[in-house]
Amino acid sequence: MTGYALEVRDLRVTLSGKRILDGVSFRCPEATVTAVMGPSGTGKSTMLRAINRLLDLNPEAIVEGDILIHGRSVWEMEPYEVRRRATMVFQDPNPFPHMSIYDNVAVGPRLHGLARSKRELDEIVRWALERAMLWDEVKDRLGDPPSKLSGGQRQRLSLARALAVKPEILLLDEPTANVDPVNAVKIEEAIRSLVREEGITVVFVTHMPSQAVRVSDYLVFLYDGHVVEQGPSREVALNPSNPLTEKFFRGEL
Amino acid sequence: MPRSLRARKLENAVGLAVIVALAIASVLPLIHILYMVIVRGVEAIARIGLYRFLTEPPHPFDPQNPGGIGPALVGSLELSGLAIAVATLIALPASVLIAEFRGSRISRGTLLLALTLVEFPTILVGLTVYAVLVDHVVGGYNMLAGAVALTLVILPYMAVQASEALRGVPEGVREAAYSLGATRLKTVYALIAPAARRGILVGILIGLARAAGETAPLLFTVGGAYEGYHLCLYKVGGAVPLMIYQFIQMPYKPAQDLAWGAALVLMTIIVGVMLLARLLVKEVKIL
Ligand SMILES: Nc1ncnc2c1ncn2[C@@H]1O[C@H](COP(=O)(O)OP(=O)(O)OP(=O)(O)O)[C@@H](O)[C@H]1O
Ligand SMILES: [Mg+2]
Repeated sequence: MTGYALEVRDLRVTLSGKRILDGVSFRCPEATVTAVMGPSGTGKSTMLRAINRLLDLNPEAIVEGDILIHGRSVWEMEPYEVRRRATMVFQDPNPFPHMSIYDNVAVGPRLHGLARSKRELDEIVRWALERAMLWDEVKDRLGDPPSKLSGGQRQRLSLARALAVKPEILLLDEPTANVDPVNAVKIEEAIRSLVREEGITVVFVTHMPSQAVRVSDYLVFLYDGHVVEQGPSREVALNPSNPLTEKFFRGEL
Repeated sequence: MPRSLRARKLENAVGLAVIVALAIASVLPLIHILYMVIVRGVEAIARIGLYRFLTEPPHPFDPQNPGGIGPALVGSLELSGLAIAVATLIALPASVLIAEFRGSRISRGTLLLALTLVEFPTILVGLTVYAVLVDHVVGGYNMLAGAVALTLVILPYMAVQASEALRGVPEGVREAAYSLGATRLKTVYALIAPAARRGILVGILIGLARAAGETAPLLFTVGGAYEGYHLCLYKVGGAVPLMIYQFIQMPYKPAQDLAWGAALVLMTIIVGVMLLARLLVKEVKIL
């Protein structure tokens, strides 16, 4: 045990012959939030997909370097094991359209045999929806399709679905980008309490410096496939040492 | 200025009229077919009554009691049922291979094979099955050969259709599904295929309509026997489209009437299946 839930070492990713990430390294201590920032197209989403081996599904992707989850290399695990231990929530809310709200959350635990009875499954679903701050709004209509939810609620449903498989790490790719401010605050609160109370480690891609400071403990600033600055969020945000980071925080990048 | 505006409006009106006229002209033959089949079919069926027409064997030479299409209908049900069952069992895994394992050689090979077979003349499929199953194995026309030929005709179509339905699942939903950490096969069968289920079902329905309507693959496989109910797989049998083909060529009024009645029944079945498929497609769009 290293005390780090996630270590990324010299990660290099090539997509369709184009080098996207070129030697990215950072570490996330257990039960912390690490914000990943950087201009559009720097490879933040690509990095999250590399971490949980979703990129394995893309025949055009080449991933090099090492990624360790609680000290164990993801290359020693099956891809599906990695994906379950580090689940991802995407920029656009994408609940399964053909399933009810309940089933969207229950399907993961069912696939992994996490519940031995209907009651246990109900409990997991409730726990996940509460953790995603959605329970109160949907508890009376769990059988509805997700199309009856607002965009922000759908995103929180996606979060609950990811939580229900009991991951150690949550990879969040701009989860509040397409969501109204009220829902964004709820998602931020959900993330903070998940880390505090459930010990989950979060990697959180965001475009908003203010959000990064509010939510994260550590900040990694990516530029053009490299990490140009990293450290405790407040320090980096208030006192950036790299001119690129400073420019980004002033909104000029 | 207003003048050229009026001129343009006139131009538009003329253009529209031409398009409408062309549209009507192209739909006319279809309307004519529908009209003929309905008028002559209803006439033939009314003579004996719908129930008897659907259940009794034909008497193509007896103007007093022409009988019905019972054996052919049962034969069609047997052939299409078998073909759709076997084709579905093979097409679904094949479509998963095509859509979800893209990039692998076996996936590309399967797609190429399916696309080639879709374009393959159905008469050649029938001929091949004839050479193997009729000529060699059984030694005579048989229902099994017909079912195999129909399966081969609809299988590639259904595999391509199902793989397109799978590809139609939005990339975000697909990624979210994999992100839950189930194995690849489990993810496809439990999450991605159900998300595409309507599209897959439409493919199965259209396959069913084709299986019920195809004639060429049956020409030298099933044979054509309509006197009694022939359900035995390795014996000669009949089917509705084959019966139409064979009876319409007989120089007897009762035989031709039977063919028209059978045509109406076939058309009703196929239109029914197609309407069901359309309904499903519409629901897909609403979602
Ligand atoms: N499948 C792919 N094949 C080839 N290039 C890709 C692929 N996906 C993304 N890219 C490229 O990789 C680069 C990084 O994309 P990525 O989505 O990771 O950026 P990002 O930092 O998440 O951007 P944003 O902030 O806009 O979400 C972009 O230049 C993009 O065009
Ligand atoms: Mg992105």
